[in-house]
Amino acid sequence: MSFLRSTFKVILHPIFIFVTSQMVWISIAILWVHWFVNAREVIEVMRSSLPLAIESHITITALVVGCILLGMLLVGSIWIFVVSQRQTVSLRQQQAFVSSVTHELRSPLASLKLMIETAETRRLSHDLQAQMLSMAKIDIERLLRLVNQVLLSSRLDRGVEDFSKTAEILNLKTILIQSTERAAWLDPSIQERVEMKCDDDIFVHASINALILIFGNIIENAVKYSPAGTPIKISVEKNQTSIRTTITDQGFGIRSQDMKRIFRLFQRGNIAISKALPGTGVGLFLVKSVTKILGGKVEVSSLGEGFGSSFLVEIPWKGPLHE
Amino acid sequence: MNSRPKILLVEDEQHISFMLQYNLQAEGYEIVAAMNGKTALNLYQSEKPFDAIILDVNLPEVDGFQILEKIRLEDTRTGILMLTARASDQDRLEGLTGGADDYLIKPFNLLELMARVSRMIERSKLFKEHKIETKNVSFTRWTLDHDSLMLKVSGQEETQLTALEADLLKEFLSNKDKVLSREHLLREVWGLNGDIESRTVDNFILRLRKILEVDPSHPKYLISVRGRGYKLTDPGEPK
Repeated sequence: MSFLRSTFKVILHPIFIFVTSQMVWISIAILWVHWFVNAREVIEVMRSSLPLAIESHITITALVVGCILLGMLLVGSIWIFVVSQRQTVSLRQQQAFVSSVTHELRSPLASLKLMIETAETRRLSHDLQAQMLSMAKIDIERLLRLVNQVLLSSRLDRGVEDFSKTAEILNLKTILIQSTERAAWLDPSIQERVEMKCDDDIFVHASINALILIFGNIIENAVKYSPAGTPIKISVEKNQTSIRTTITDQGFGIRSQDMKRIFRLFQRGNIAISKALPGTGVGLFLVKSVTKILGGKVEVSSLGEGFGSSFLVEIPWKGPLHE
Repeated sequence: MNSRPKILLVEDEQHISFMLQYNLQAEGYEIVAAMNGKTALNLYQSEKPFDAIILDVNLPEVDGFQILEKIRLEDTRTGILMLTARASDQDRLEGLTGGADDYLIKPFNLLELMARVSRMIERSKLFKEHKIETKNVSFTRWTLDHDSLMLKVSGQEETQLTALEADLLKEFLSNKDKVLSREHLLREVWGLNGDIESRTVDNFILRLRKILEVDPSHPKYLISVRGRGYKLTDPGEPK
Protein backbone atom coordinates (compact mmCIF):
# COMPACT_ATOMS: atom_id res chain seq x y z
CA MET A 1 0.00 0.00 0.00
CA SER A 2 2.76 2.42 0.96
CA PHE A 3 4.68 1.40 -2.21
CA LEU A 4 1.63 2.29 -4.34
CA ARG A 5 1.24 5.59 -2.49
CA SER A 6 4.88 6.54 -3.00
CA THR A 7 4.71 5.49 -6.68
CA PHE A 8 1.65 7.71 -7.19
CA LYS A 9 3.43 10.54 -5.43
CA VAL A 10 6.37 10.25 -7.83
CA ILE A 11 4.10 9.98 -10.91
CA LEU A 12 2.07 13.04 -9.91
CA HIS A 13 5.13 15.17 -9.10
CA PRO A 14 5.30 18.24 -11.42
CA ILE A 15 8.92 17.54 -12.38
CA PHE A 16 8.10 13.94 -13.39
CA ILE A 17 5.07 15.10 -15.42
CA PHE A 18 7.14 17.82 -17.09
CA VAL A 19 10.06 15.53 -18.02
CA THR A 20 7.68 12.82 -19.28
CA SER A 21 5.68 15.27 -21.42
CA GLN A 22 8.89 16.66 -22.93
CA MET A 23 10.07 13.14 -23.74
CA VAL A 24 6.73 12.48 -25.46
CA TRP A 25 7.06 15.67 -27.52
CA ILE A 26 10.63 14.90 -28.54
CA SER A 27 9.77 11.27 -29.37
CA ILE A 28 6.87 12.40 -31.59
CA ALA A 29 9.16 14.85 -33.39
CA ILE A 30 11.88 12.20 -33.90
CA LEU A 31 9.31 9.65 -35.17
CA TRP A 32 7.83 12.26 -37.48
CA VAL A 33 11.23 13.20 -38.96
CA HIS A 34 12.13 9.51 -39.23
CA TRP A 35 8.87 8.79 -41.05
CA PHE A 36 9.38 11.79 -43.35
CA VAL A 37 12.92 10.71 -44.34
CA ASN A 38 11.89 7.08 -44.93
CA ALA A 39 8.72 8.02 -46.82
CA ARG A 40 10.44 10.52 -49.03
CA GLU A 41 10.89 8.03 -51.89
CA VAL A 42 7.19 7.11 -51.70
CA ILE A 43 6.26 10.80 -51.73
CA GLU A 44 8.49 11.28 -54.78
CA VAL A 45 6.69 8.41 -56.58
CA MET A 46 3.29 9.81 -55.57
CA ARG A 47 4.32 13.26 -56.72
CA SER A 48 5.35 12.02 -60.15
CA SER A 49 2.20 9.94 -60.58
CA LEU A 50 -0.25 12.60 -59.41
CA PRO A 51 -1.73 14.96 -61.99
CA LEU A 52 -1.25 17.91 -59.57
CA ALA A 53 2.42 18.50 -59.01
CA ILE A 54 3.73 18.70 -55.44
CA GLU A 55 6.78 20.88 -55.27
CA SER A 56 9.63 19.27 -53.32
CA HIS A 57 10.59 22.61 -51.66
CA ILE A 58 7.11 22.71 -50.07
CA THR A 59 7.75 19.42 -48.23
CA ILE A 60 11.20 20.57 -47.07
CA THR A 61 9.70 23.89 -45.86
CA ALA A 62 7.00 21.98 -43.99
CA LEU A 63 9.69 19.91 -42.25
CA VAL A 64 11.74 22.96 -41.26
CA VAL A 65 8.71 24.99 -40.12
CA GLY A 66 7.38 21.97 -38.19
CA CYS A 67 10.71 21.54 -36.40
CA ILE A 68 10.85 25.27 -35.57
CA LEU A 69 7.29 25.20 -34.20
CA LEU A 70 8.05 22.13 -32.12
CA GLY A 71 11.21 23.80 -30.84
CA MET A 72 9.18 26.89 -29.90
CA LEU A 73 6.67 24.71 -28.09
CA LEU A 74 9.52 23.03 -26.21
CA VAL A 75 11.10 26.35 -25.19
CA GLY A 76 7.70 27.78 -24.25
CA SER A 77 6.74 24.85 -22.08
CA ILE A 78 10.17 24.89 -20.36
CA TRP A 79 9.72 28.60 -19.67
CA ILE A 80 6.22 28.08 -18.23
CA PHE A 81 7.59 25.28 -16.05
CA VAL A 82 10.48 27.40 -14.75
CA VAL A 83 8.15 30.32 -13.97
CA SER A 84 5.63 28.07 -12.19
CA GLN A 85 8.44 26.48 -10.14
CA ARG A 86 9.67 29.96 -9.16
CA GLN A 87 6.16 30.89 -8.11
CA THR A 88 5.86 27.70 -6.06
CA VAL A 89 9.16 28.47 -4.28
CA SER A 90 8.05 32.07 -3.73
CA LEU A 91 4.72 30.91 -2.28
CA ARG A 92 6.53 28.52 0.09
CA GLN A 93 8.84 31.37 1.14
CA GLN A 94 5.86 33.60 1.83
CA GLN A 95 4.15 30.90 3.88
CA ALA A 96 7.37 30.28 5.86
CA PHE A 97 7.75 34.03 6.36
CA VAL A 98 4.16 34.54 7.55
CA SER A 99 4.50 31.61 9.93
CA SER A 100 7.82 32.75 11.42
CA VAL A 101 6.95 36.47 11.62
CA THR A 102 3.58 35.65 13.23
CA HIS A 103 5.44 33.60 15.81
CA GLU A 104 7.97 36.37 16.45
CA LEU A 105 5.14 38.89 16.87
CA ARG A 106 3.19 36.77 19.34
CA SER A 107 5.76 36.71 22.17
CA PRO A 108 6.24 40.48 22.67
CA LEU A 109 2.50 40.97 22.12
CA ALA A 110 1.74 38.33 24.77
CA SER A 111 4.12 40.07 27.15
CA LEU A 112 2.49 43.49 26.56
CA LYS A 113 -1.02 42.05 26.93
CA LEU A 114 -0.01 40.31 30.14
CA MET A 115 1.33 43.57 31.58
CA ILE A 116 -1.79 45.54 30.65
CA GLU A 117 -4.12 42.87 32.10
CA THR A 118 -2.01 42.70 35.26
CA ALA A 119 -2.19 46.48 35.64
CA GLU A 120 -5.96 46.31 35.15
CA THR A 121 -6.55 43.57 37.72
CA ARG A 122 -3.99 44.20 40.47
CA ARG A 123 -2.80 47.04 42.67
CA LEU A 124 0.82 47.50 41.73
CA SER A 125 3.61 49.19 43.65
CA HIS A 126 5.39 52.16 42.03
CA ASP A 127 8.58 50.11 41.66
CA LEU A 128 6.74 47.35 39.85
CA GLN A 129 4.95 49.84 37.63
CA ALA A 130 8.31 51.36 36.66
CA GLN A 131 9.76 47.93 35.97
CA MET A 132 6.77 46.99 33.83
CA LEU A 133 7.04 50.20 31.82
CA SER A 134 10.69 49.48 31.18
CA MET A 135 9.84 45.93 30.03
CA ALA A 136 6.98 47.21 27.85
CA LYS A 137 9.41 49.65 26.20
CA ILE A 138 11.80 46.79 25.38
CA ASP A 139 8.93 44.72 23.93
CA ILE A 140 7.78 47.63 21.76
CA GLU A 141 11.35 48.18 20.54
CA ARG A 142 11.54 44.49 19.69
CA LEU A 143 8.30 44.72 17.69
CA LEU A 144 9.52 47.89 15.96
CA ARG A 145 12.82 46.24 15.08
CA LEU A 146 10.99 43.29 13.55
CA VAL A 147 8.68 45.52 11.50
CA ASN A 148 11.60 47.70 10.37
CA GLN A 149 13.65 44.65 9.34
CA VAL A 150 10.78 43.30 7.26
CA LEU A 151 10.24 46.69 5.58
CA LEU A 152 13.98 47.11 4.98
CA SER A 153 14.24 43.62 3.47
CA SER A 154 11.51 44.60 1.02
CA ARG A 155 13.35 47.83 0.06
CA LEU A 156 16.66 45.97 -0.34
CA ASP A 157 14.95 43.26 -2.40
CA ARG A 158 13.68 46.00 -4.74
CA GLY A 159 17.10 47.73 -4.72
CA VAL A 160 15.74 51.09 -3.50
CA GLU A 161 17.68 51.43 -0.21
CA ASP A 162 20.59 53.88 -0.20
CA PHE A 163 22.95 54.06 2.79
CA SER A 164 25.48 56.42 1.15
CA LYS A 165 23.52 59.56 2.12
CA THR A 166 23.98 58.85 5.84
CA ALA A 167 27.63 57.75 5.64
CA GLU A 168 30.04 59.25 8.19
CA ILE A 169 33.37 58.44 9.80
CA LEU A 170 32.79 56.02 12.64
CA ASN A 171 34.88 54.26 15.25
CA LEU A 172 34.46 50.53 14.65
CA LYS A 173 34.95 49.49 18.28
CA THR A 174 32.13 51.84 19.36
CA ILE A 175 29.89 50.37 16.66
CA LEU A 176 30.67 46.82 17.81
CA ILE A 177 29.87 47.74 21.44
CA GLN A 178 26.56 49.32 20.35
CA SER A 179 25.76 46.23 18.24
CA THR A 180 26.44 44.03 21.27
CA GLU A 181 24.14 46.18 23.44
CA ARG A 182 21.41 45.69 20.83
CA ALA A 183 21.37 41.98 21.69
CA ALA A 184 20.90 42.61 25.42
CA TRP A 185 17.15 41.93 25.16
CA LEU A 186 18.04 38.32 24.33
CA ASP A 187 20.62 37.95 27.08
CA PRO A 188 21.16 40.66 29.73
CA SER A 189 24.60 39.17 30.50
CA ILE A 190 25.74 39.56 26.87
CA GLN A 191 28.58 41.97 27.81
CA GLU A 192 30.13 39.26 29.98
CA ARG A 193 29.99 36.72 27.15
CA VAL A 194 31.60 38.87 24.46
CA GLU A 195 35.39 38.72 24.10
CA MET A 196 36.37 41.61 21.84
CA LYS A 197 39.74 42.20 20.18
CA CYS A 198 39.56 45.48 18.31
CA ASP A 199 42.05 48.37 18.27
CA ASP A 200 40.65 51.72 19.41
CA ASP A 201 41.89 53.53 16.30
CA ILE A 202 40.04 51.72 13.54
CA PHE A 203 37.65 54.02 11.68
CA VAL A 204 35.27 53.29 8.82
CA HIS A 205 33.31 55.51 6.47
CA ALA A 206 29.78 54.16 6.41
CA SER A 207 26.22 54.60 7.66
CA ILE A 208 25.88 53.84 11.38
CA ASN A 209 22.52 52.14 10.74
CA ALA A 210 24.08 49.89 8.12
CA LEU A 211 26.95 48.80 10.37
CA ILE A 212 24.79 48.20 13.45
CA LEU A 213 22.37 46.26 11.30
CA ILE A 214 25.20 44.01 10.02
CA PHE A 215 26.99 43.36 13.31
CA GLY A 216 23.85 43.52 15.47
CA ASN A 217 22.15 40.78 13.47
CA ILE A 218 25.18 38.49 13.56
CA ILE A 219 25.67 39.01 17.32
CA GLU A 220 21.93 38.45 17.96
CA ASN A 221 22.14 35.19 16.02
CA ALA A 222 25.19 34.15 18.04
CA VAL A 223 23.16 34.68 21.23
CA LYS A 224 20.01 33.00 19.89
CA TYR A 225 21.76 29.93 18.54
CA SER A 226 24.25 29.27 21.38
CA PRO A 227 23.83 27.77 24.84
CA ALA A 228 23.54 30.42 27.54
CA GLY A 229 26.86 31.59 28.96
CA THR A 230 29.06 30.36 26.11
CA PRO A 231 31.59 32.92 24.83
CA ILE A 232 31.12 34.99 21.68
CA LYS A 233 34.42 36.14 20.19
CA ILE A 234 34.74 39.28 18.08
CA SER A 235 38.06 40.05 16.44
CA VAL A 236 39.00 42.79 13.99
CA GLU A 237 41.96 42.87 11.58
CA LYS A 238 42.86 45.75 9.32
CA ASN A 239 45.04 45.52 6.23
CA GLN A 240 45.84 47.94 3.38
CA THR A 241 42.49 47.54 1.63
CA SER A 242 39.94 46.15 4.03
CA ILE A 243 38.72 45.67 7.59
CA ARG A 244 37.87 42.08 8.48
CA THR A 245 35.58 41.48 11.46
CA THR A 246 35.08 37.89 12.62
CA ILE A 247 32.29 36.92 15.01
CA THR A 248 32.58 33.37 16.36
CA ASP A 249 30.19 31.51 18.63
CA GLN A 250 30.11 28.05 20.23
CA GLY A 251 26.52 27.39 19.25
CA PHE A 252 24.53 24.80 17.33
CA GLY A 253 26.52 25.36 14.11
CA ILE A 254 25.39 25.32 10.49
CA ARG A 255 25.22 22.33 8.16
CA SER A 256 27.31 22.63 4.98
CA GLN A 257 24.21 22.43 2.76
CA ASP A 258 22.73 25.47 4.56
CA MET A 259 25.75 27.79 4.16
CA LYS A 260 24.35 29.60 1.10
CA ARG A 261 20.68 29.15 1.92
CA ILE A 262 20.77 31.08 5.21
CA PHE A 263 21.60 34.32 3.36
CA ARG A 264 18.49 34.09 1.18
CA LEU A 265 15.33 35.98 2.12
CA PHE A 266 12.98 34.04 4.45
CA GLN A 267 15.29 31.01 4.44
CA ARG A 268 16.57 29.45 7.66
CA GLY A 269 19.06 26.70 8.47
CA ASN A 270 17.78 23.20 9.13
CA ILE A 271 19.20 23.13 12.66
CA ALA A 272 17.31 26.33 13.60
CA ILE A 273 14.10 24.91 12.12
CA SER A 274 14.43 21.45 13.71
CA LYS A 275 15.21 22.95 17.12
CA ALA A 276 12.22 25.31 16.72
CA LEU A 277 14.45 28.28 17.49
CA PRO A 278 12.94 31.74 17.00
CA GLY A 279 13.77 33.66 13.84
CA THR A 280 12.28 35.04 10.64
CA GLY A 281 14.84 34.30 7.93
CA VAL A 282 15.32 38.04 7.34
CA GLY A 283 18.41 38.96 9.43
CA LEU A 284 21.17 37.32 7.41
CA PHE A 285 19.58 38.43 4.13
CA LEU A 286 19.90 42.00 5.44
CA VAL A 287 23.50 41.36 6.56
CA LYS A 288 24.51 40.13 3.12
CA SER A 289 22.59 42.81 1.17
CA VAL A 290 23.86 45.72 3.29
CA THR A 291 27.46 44.45 3.29
CA LYS A 292 27.26 44.25 -0.50
CA ILE A 293 25.95 47.84 -0.69
CA LEU A 294 28.98 48.92 1.39
CA GLY A 295 31.22 47.21 -1.18
CA GLY A 296 32.13 44.33 1.12
CA LYS A 297 31.28 40.68 1.55
CA VAL A 298 30.21 38.27 4.26
CA GLU A 299 31.29 34.64 4.62
CA VAL A 300 30.25 31.92 7.03
CA SER A 301 32.10 28.82 8.19
CA SER A 302 31.11 26.02 10.55
CA LEU A 303 32.45 22.57 11.28
CA GLY A 304 28.85 21.36 11.44
CA GLU A 305 26.14 20.69 13.97
CA GLY A 306 27.26 21.37 17.53
CA PHE A 307 30.55 23.00 16.57
CA GLY A 308 29.54 26.66 16.45
CA SER A 309 29.84 29.05 13.55
CA SER A 310 31.98 31.94 12.44
CA PHE A 311 30.91 34.95 10.35
CA LEU A 312 33.52 37.05 8.57
CA VAL A 313 32.47 40.54 7.46
CA GLU A 314 34.94 42.25 5.14
CA ILE A 315 34.37 45.91 4.33
CA PRO A 316 36.69 48.07 2.23
CA TRP A 317 39.08 50.46 3.97
CA LYS A 318 39.70 53.57 1.95
CA GLY A 319 42.88 54.75 3.61
CA PRO A 320 43.89 57.07 6.46
CA LEU A 321 42.32 60.12 4.76
CA HIS A 322 39.02 59.21 6.29
CA GLU A 323 40.38 59.05 9.81
CA MET B 1 5.00 22.65 56.10
CA ASN B 2 4.32 24.49 52.87
CA SER B 3 0.76 23.90 51.71
CA ARG B 4 0.82 26.27 48.75
CA PRO B 5 0.29 24.50 45.39
CA LYS B 6 3.59 24.27 43.55
CA ILE B 7 3.88 25.08 39.84
CA LEU B 8 6.83 24.47 37.52
CA LEU B 9 6.90 27.38 35.08
CA VAL B 10 9.01 26.74 31.98
CA GLU B 11 9.20 29.90 29.87
CA ASP B 12 12.22 31.36 28.12
CA GLU B 13 10.72 34.80 27.42
CA GLN B 14 11.95 36.80 30.42
CA HIS B 15 9.11 39.32 30.53
CA ILE B 16 6.36 36.72 30.20
CA SER B 17 8.03 34.55 32.84
CA PHE B 18 8.36 37.51 35.22
CA MET B 19 4.72 38.60 34.82
CA LEU B 20 3.41 35.04 35.14
CA GLN B 21 5.45 34.49 38.29
CA TYR B 22 4.09 37.72 39.74
CA ASN B 23 0.45 36.83 38.95
CA LEU B 24 0.68 33.20 40.04
CA GLN B 25 2.42 34.13 43.29
CA ALA B 26 -0.27 36.75 43.91
CA GLU B 27 -2.83 33.93 43.60
CA GLY B 28 -0.98 31.99 46.31
CA TYR B 29 1.02 29.54 44.24
CA GLU B 30 4.65 28.61 44.82
CA ILE B 31 6.59 28.98 41.58
CA VAL B 32 9.68 27.13 40.43
CA ALA B 33 10.82 28.82 37.21
CA ALA B 34 13.07 27.52 34.44
CA MET B 35 14.26 29.49 31.41
CA ASN B 36 15.42 26.55 29.27
CA GLY B 37 14.57 22.90 28.71
CA LYS B 38 17.58 21.38 30.41
CA THR B 39 17.08 23.37 33.61
CA ALA B 40 13.36 22.51 33.50
CA LEU B 41 14.09 18.76 33.49
CA ASN B 42 16.66 19.12 36.28
CA LEU B 43 14.26 21.20 38.39
CA TYR B 44 11.43 18.74 37.72
CA GLN B 45 13.57 15.90 39.11
CA SER B 46 14.95 17.82 42.09
CA GLU B 47 11.77 19.67 43.13
CA LYS B 48 8.96 17.22 42.31
CA PRO B 49 6.13 16.64 43.01
CA PHE B 50 4.42 19.60 41.33
CA ASP B 51 0.71 20.38 41.31
CA ALA B 52 0.85 21.76 37.76
CA ILE B 53 3.33 22.52 35.01
CA ILE B 54 3.15 25.46 32.59
CA LEU B 55 5.31 24.61 29.63
CA ASP B 56 6.45 26.69 26.65
CA VAL B 57 7.34 24.81 23.44
CA ASN B 58 10.13 26.84 21.82
CA LEU B 59 12.85 26.48 24.40
CA PRO B 60 16.62 26.48 24.18
CA GLU B 61 18.38 23.10 24.42
CA VAL B 62 15.37 20.79 24.97
CA ASP B 63 12.01 21.79 23.48
CA GLY B 64 8.68 21.66 25.28
CA PHE B 65 7.40 18.58 23.42
CA GLN B 66 10.48 16.61 24.51
CA ILE B 67 10.03 17.74 28.11
CA LEU B 68 6.35 16.72 27.96
CA GLU B 69 7.29 13.27 26.67
CA LYS B 70 9.94 12.76 29.38
CA ILE B 71 7.64 13.86 32.21
CA ARG B 72 4.71 11.77 30.97
CA LEU B 73 6.88 8.62 31.00
CA GLU B 74 6.95 8.77 34.79
CA ASP B 75 4.06 11.04 35.76
CA THR B 76 0.56 10.95 34.29
CA ARG B 77 -1.18 12.81 37.11
CA THR B 78 0.35 16.26 37.17
CA GLY B 79 -1.59 18.64 34.95
CA ILE B 80 0.48 20.13 32.13
CA LEU B 81 -0.57 23.27 30.27
CA MET B 82 1.31 24.12 27.09
CA LEU B 83 1.66 27.89 26.71
CA THR B 84 3.12 28.72 23.33
CA ALA B 85 3.18 31.03 20.33
CA ARG B 86 2.93 27.98 18.05
CA ALA B 87 -0.64 28.24 16.87
CA SER B 88 -0.95 25.62 14.11
CA ASP B 89 -3.39 22.73 14.45
CA GLN B 90 -0.47 20.34 14.00
CA ASP B 91 1.39 21.79 16.99
CA ARG B 92 -1.76 21.80 19.13
CA LEU B 93 -2.38 18.17 18.21
CA GLU B 94 1.24 17.23 18.95
CA GLY B 95 0.95 18.80 22.40
CA LEU B 96 -2.39 17.30 23.30
CA THR B 97 -1.70 13.85 21.90
CA GLY B 98 1.68 13.94 23.62
CA GLY B 99 -0.02 14.08 27.00
CA ALA B 100 -0.64 17.76 27.73
CA ASP B 101 -3.90 18.54 29.51
CA ASP B 102 -4.34 21.94 27.96
CA TYR B 103 -2.93 24.10 25.18
CA LEU B 104 -3.09 27.88 25.25
CA ILE B 105 -1.77 30.15 22.51
CA LYS B 106 0.10 33.43 23.07
CA PRO B 107 -1.07 36.13 23.40
CA PHE B 108 -3.51 34.75 25.96
CA ASN B 109 -6.05 36.11 28.40
CA LEU B 110 -4.63 36.27 31.92
CA LEU B 111 -7.89 35.39 33.66
CA GLU B 112 -8.44 32.44 31.33
CA LEU B 113 -4.95 31.15 32.09
CA MET B 114 -5.57 31.51 35.82
CA ALA B 115 -8.88 29.61 35.52
CA ARG B 116 -7.26 26.77 33.61
CA VAL B 117 -4.32 26.49 36.01
CA SER B 118 -6.64 26.58 39.00
CA ARG B 119 -8.76 23.76 37.56
CA MET B 120 -5.68 21.62 36.83
CA ILE B 121 -4.44 22.10 40.39
CA GLU B 122 -7.83 21.23 41.86
CA ARG B 123 -7.83 17.98 39.91
CA SER B 124 -4.30 17.17 41.01
CA LYS B 125 -5.24 17.91 44.64
CA LEU B 126 -8.30 15.68 44.48
CA PHE B 127 -6.18 12.79 43.23
CA LYS B 128 -3.62 13.32 45.98
CA GLU B 129 -6.28 13.38 48.69
CA HIS B 130 -8.17 10.45 47.07
CA LYS B 131 -11.34 12.53 47.06
CA ILE B 132 -12.16 11.41 43.55
CA GLU B 133 -14.40 8.38 43.47
CA THR B 134 -12.04 5.48 43.02
CA LYS B 135 -14.67 2.89 42.20
CA ASN B 136 -14.06 1.10 38.91
CA VAL B 137 -16.39 2.04 36.08
CA SER B 138 -17.08 -0.51 33.34
CA PHE B 139 -18.62 -0.30 29.90
CA THR B 140 -18.59 -3.00 27.20
CA ARG B 141 -14.93 -4.06 26.87
CA TRP B 142 -13.43 -1.44 29.17
CA THR B 143 -12.95 -0.98 32.88
CA LEU B 144 -11.59 2.32 34.11
CA ASP B 145 -9.72 2.23 37.40
CA HIS B 146 -9.84 5.87 38.34
CA ASP B 147 -7.46 5.37 41.24
CA SER B 148 -4.53 4.04 39.23
CA LEU B 149 -5.67 5.78 35.99
CA MET B 150 -5.50 2.39 34.24
CA LEU B 151 -7.93 1.45 31.49
CA LYS B 152 -8.40 -2.30 31.30
CA VAL B 153 -9.57 -3.63 27.96
CA SER B 154 -10.75 -7.25 27.91
CA GLY B 155 -8.25 -9.45 26.13
CA GLN B 156 -5.71 -6.64 25.82
CA GLU B 157 -2.98 -4.99 27.84
CA GLU B 158 -3.86 -2.21 30.26
CA THR B 159 -3.45 1.37 29.10
CA GLN B 160 -2.13 4.10 31.35
CA LEU B 161 -4.23 7.28 31.04
CA THR B 162 -3.41 10.81 32.09
CA ALA B 163 -5.57 12.39 34.79
CA LEU B 164 -7.50 14.48 32.26
CA GLU B 165 -8.02 11.56 29.87
CA ALA B 166 -9.42 9.57 32.80
CA ASP B 167 -11.72 12.45 33.78
CA LEU B 168 -12.99 12.84 30.23
CA LEU B 169 -13.61 9.10 29.83
CA LYS B 170 -15.33 9.00 33.20
CA GLU B 171 -17.67 11.77 32.08
CA PHE B 172 -18.62 9.71 29.01
CA LEU B 173 -18.94 6.51 31.06
CA SER B 174 -21.26 8.30 33.47
CA ASN B 175 -23.40 9.51 30.55
CA LYS B 176 -23.54 6.45 28.31
CA ASP B 177 -25.53 6.90 25.09
CA LYS B 178 -26.08 10.59 25.87
CA VAL B 179 -24.82 13.29 23.52
CA LEU B 180 -22.38 15.55 25.40
CA SER B 181 -21.73 18.94 23.88
CA ARG B 182 -18.27 20.52 23.79
CA GLU B 183 -19.51 23.20 26.17
CA HIS B 184 -20.72 20.53 28.62
CA LEU B 185 -17.36 18.75 28.48
CA LEU B 186 -15.40 21.99 28.92
CA ARG B 187 -17.54 22.90 31.92
CA GLU B 188 -17.58 19.48 33.60
CA VAL B 189 -14.10 18.18 32.79
CA TRP B 190 -12.00 21.30 32.32
CA GLY B 191 -14.03 23.50 34.65
CA LEU B 192 -14.05 26.26 32.06
CA ASN B 193 -16.59 28.55 30.53
CA GLY B 194 -17.82 26.68 27.44
CA ASP B 195 -17.37 29.53 24.96
CA ILE B 196 -13.61 29.77 25.48
CA GLU B 197 -12.10 27.03 23.39
CA SER B 198 -13.63 24.01 21.77
CA ARG B 199 -10.73 22.63 19.73
CA THR B 200 -9.10 21.41 22.93
CA VAL B 201 -12.06 19.05 23.37
CA ASP B 202 -11.80 17.84 19.77
CA ASN B 203 -8.11 17.06 20.24
CA PHE B 204 -8.80 15.12 23.42
CA ILE B 205 -11.56 13.14 21.66
CA LEU B 206 -8.95 12.15 19.04
CA ARG B 207 -6.68 11.07 21.88
CA LEU B 208 -9.39 8.93 23.49
CA ARG B 209 -10.34 7.40 20.14
CA LYS B 210 -6.74 6.28 19.66
CA ILE B 211 -7.06 4.42 22.96
CA LEU B 212 -10.62 3.06 22.60
CA GLU B 213 -11.20 2.40 18.93
CA VAL B 214 -9.87 -0.40 16.73
CA ASP B 215 -9.84 2.05 13.80
CA PRO B 216 -9.72 5.62 15.24
CA SER B 217 -10.45 7.15 11.83
CA HIS B 218 -13.78 5.25 11.71
CA PRO B 219 -14.95 5.40 15.34
CA LYS B 220 -17.71 3.04 16.46
CA TYR B 221 -17.85 3.73 20.20
CA LEU B 222 -16.97 7.39 20.68
CA ILE B 223 -18.94 8.91 17.85
CA SER B 224 -19.50 12.50 16.67
CA VAL B 225 -23.06 13.77 16.55
CA ARG B 226 -23.09 16.51 13.92
CA GLY B 227 -23.72 19.95 15.37
CA ARG B 228 -24.29 18.61 18.88
CA GLY B 229 -21.18 16.96 20.29
CA TYR B 230 -19.98 13.45 21.09
CA LYS B 231 -21.57 10.25 22.38
CA LEU B 232 -20.17 7.05 23.89
CA THR B 233 -22.23 4.16 22.69
CA ASP B 234 -22.08 0.38 22.31
CA PRO B 235 -22.67 -0.66 18.71
CA GLY B 236 -22.74 -4.32 19.77
CA GLU B 237 -19.98 -6.80 20.32
CA PRO B 238 -17.37 -6.66 17.56
CA LYS B 239 -17.30 -9.75 15.37
